[in-house]
Amino acid sequence: MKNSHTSIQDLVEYSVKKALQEGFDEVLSTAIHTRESMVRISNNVITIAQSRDSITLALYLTKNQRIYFAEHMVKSREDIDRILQNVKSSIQLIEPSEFYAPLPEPSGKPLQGLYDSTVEDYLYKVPELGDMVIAVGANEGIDRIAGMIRLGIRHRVLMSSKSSSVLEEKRSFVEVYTRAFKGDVTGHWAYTSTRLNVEKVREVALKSSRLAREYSTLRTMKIEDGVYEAILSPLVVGNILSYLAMMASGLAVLLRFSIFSKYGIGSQIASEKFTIIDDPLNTELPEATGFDEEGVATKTKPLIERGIVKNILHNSKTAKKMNTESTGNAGIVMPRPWNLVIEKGDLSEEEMFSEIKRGLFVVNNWYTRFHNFEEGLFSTVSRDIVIYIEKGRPKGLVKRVRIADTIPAMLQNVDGLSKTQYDIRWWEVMYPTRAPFIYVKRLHFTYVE
Amino acid sequence: MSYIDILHKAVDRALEKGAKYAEARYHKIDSFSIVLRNGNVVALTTMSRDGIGLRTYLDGALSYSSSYRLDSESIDYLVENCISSARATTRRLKLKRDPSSPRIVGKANYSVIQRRKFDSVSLEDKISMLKNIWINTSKALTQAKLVNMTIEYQESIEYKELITSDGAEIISTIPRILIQILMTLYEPRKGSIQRIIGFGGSGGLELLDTWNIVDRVTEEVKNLENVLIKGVEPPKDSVDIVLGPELVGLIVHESAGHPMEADRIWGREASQAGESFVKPEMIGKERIGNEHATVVDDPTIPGSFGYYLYDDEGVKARPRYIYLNGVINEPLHSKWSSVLFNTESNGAARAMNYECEPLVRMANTYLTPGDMEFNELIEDIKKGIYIKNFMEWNIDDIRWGQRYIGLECYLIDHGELKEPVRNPVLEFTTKEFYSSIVGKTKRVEFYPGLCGKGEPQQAIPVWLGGPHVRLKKMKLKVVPL
Repeated sequence: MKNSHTSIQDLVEYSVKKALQEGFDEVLSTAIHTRESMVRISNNVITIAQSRDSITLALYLTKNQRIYFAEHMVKSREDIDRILQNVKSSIQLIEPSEFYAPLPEPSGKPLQGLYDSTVEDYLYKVPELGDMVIAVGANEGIDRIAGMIRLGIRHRVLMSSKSSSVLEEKRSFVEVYTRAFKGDVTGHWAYTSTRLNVEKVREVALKSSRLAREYSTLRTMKIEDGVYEAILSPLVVGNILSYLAMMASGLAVLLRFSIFSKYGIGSQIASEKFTIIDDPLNTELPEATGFDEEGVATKTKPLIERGIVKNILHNSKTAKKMNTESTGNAGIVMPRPWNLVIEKGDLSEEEMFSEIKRGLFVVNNWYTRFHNFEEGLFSTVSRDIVIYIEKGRPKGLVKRVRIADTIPAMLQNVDGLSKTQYDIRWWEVMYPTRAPFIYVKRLHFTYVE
Repeated sequence: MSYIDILHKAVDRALEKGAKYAEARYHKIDSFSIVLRNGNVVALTTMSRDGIGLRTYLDGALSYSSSYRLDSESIDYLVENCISSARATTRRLKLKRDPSSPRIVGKANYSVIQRRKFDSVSLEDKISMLKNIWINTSKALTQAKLVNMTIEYQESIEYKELITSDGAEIISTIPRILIQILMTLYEPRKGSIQRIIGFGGSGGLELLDTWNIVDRVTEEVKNLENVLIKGVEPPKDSVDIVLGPELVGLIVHESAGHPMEADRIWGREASQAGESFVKPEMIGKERIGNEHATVVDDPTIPGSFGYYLYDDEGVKARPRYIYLNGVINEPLHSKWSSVLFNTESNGAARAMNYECEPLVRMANTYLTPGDMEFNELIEDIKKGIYIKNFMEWNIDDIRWGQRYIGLECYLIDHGELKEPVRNPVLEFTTKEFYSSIVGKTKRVEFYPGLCGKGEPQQAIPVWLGGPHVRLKKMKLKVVPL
């Protein structure tokens, strides 16, 4: 494949220069070149091998405090000329935006250590990793395995009209998840990193297979709707807290589609044992970056620290609107978290189980939906095994229960975290997340037979 | 510019290199959006995505490669990459035959006509129309305040050229409009109530005339204020349930459309969108509900959000009777899944953009209408609840157990709608729902959605629809507040 370095840098530099010549006040240009390979697995076979090669150019343009955002597949300078002419004719016709803020000085610097050449080496050998995952499932005695392995290289170049130089980062990323079946008992696990460690890929298949196999002999049972103790696996923690982190975006707060429009900075929203951090500087997690989408330096910061809301995530626009500073979390349109880290606790995973009197261990979930974002009223459905535990011992399997509660109630009841953490991202976890197992002493569950 | 020659070249090269089946698609989507918050324009946006995707089938190995580059050298590389990925795949699913389906593919060039073209109305007039939604709704409230109303108005044009090795040659142009409105109403003593409303279809600006947006949203806002201020707790005993078309559309999408996607029944989505309670041996035999339970998925409804005449494998589209008179009837198929089920594709393969392989997808899914008026549906209900729409919902990964929380809801007392009700929770299984229908109204209404599936995740435009439906008595649950 051709090297894209020169071309995307040229597109970015040209677009900034040309936009200023065309009379725009400010321009921010970002080009992203992604090369990616993936296999999907189901029923012990690779159902498809996929690869993609794409370049997008995102232009943020302002004129007299009016805002235009254009994201296009750009192949040449002429494409940029056409986009700018189109924007020029429209931008004058709208009013100044209430979200306008002057572009900030690009204070960020590229983060080192994001690229692993092993990922590049394996980019066209992903089917081999798929074969390995299938073999692990067979060796572990499960009936069938499904999953996905994705490897990729992303090259990002950013230039602001506030600076004469470009910022660029090249990163690799790895995302793996598998679901193993023993009869209709299923286990699931996931892994993500900027680096490829084949042993970690194997571990994902092992962990999902063992979850399915080890609990497959438990009897299936029903439960009544009500309050139970709960152990939530890192997959469940990653899913629910990715919604929490999304709601920490300053734009979500301003649009009142956020729990943080009710629970502002300084509110006690969780138990003292709970801390969640936005960690863009952790180079092991794939969304790590030294500069946000406005070129501002990123920093590691707690969203919630020892139960107290500490930070809302801002770009320059939401920061101005809320009378504060950018947190280095632009999103041109919507501020966003980078990588999430939930602080670990001091419990072993075995201790967490042994101390349950009457509770449920939930391995995985999906379909999290909110009835009211301000109240944090939500439900989510388990998939894969849910184990009913009594007096520290697994008593049975419960199929497809629902957690139906509010986010503050759930977080207030966090009463223990494992000392182990796992780096995960999958279909249902939006952001790379380093999460422990979490013990919640009271959580509402519902059950449909 | 036409890419047909390039696509032919890619398909021919793939066959030369050993593929038994190949399809190549140029796929472009252009969109333009206006975003407003509380009546003020926040920003304008444009997006454009185009490129070529190639899928090949080679001795059991399916592979898909895509590229934004359209030059000859890049196409050669695309073919090489696709074939080498297939060859590198050792754990394959060897089909009884390759997915070629020459009998059912077509050659066509079709467009959805914009009777009023996107550019026939000025940007200022479009903005003015959108501002009117805010102006009218915000002043309609008397006690609560509309603290946020975000409107995203989007015009898009999807253009595709498709060539397949079994003879399809399809060119299509489908313009669409989608309007999504997010609202929060707030009253200090009662808290907030939130709603997301969508309007969507294929066509031009004439769609706006049919949607009557200002009146509908204004009425909704007034009704939501009533629910927020005066809403009572849901009844605790079993009551008759009446559901509005928006909720019925969602239920049939989730519990009929999804579980009847053949790739999901086989297990191809096991680790993503999930599997299905439906097993191959149930098809054509197993009863899932009563005689009212007929669910159709029809891509050919004019003006629909999920409209198409040929799918992304070149197969002619037609209505599919998913559940028929209460029996599990016809799954949705692509060429690939139809080989596994020893049948023919029924034209359900769709791809979100050039970067994605076509998957088995719904188009416009609805519960068929009945023969009643709304007042006839409720006239003999002594005690019941009418759930018009919803916010929270979910369903498990085999599409069996599901939950919906009503948003705008009313008690029914001796055949009349009475006090508003807050947050009634419905939880039931798929069979329970389709076995509980006792009446349907005459008119089907449709709502737009973007349906997710696959890896990479693909969001596909669909319509979800149905009539008003009455269910026999059920017990409601409550929210944990």
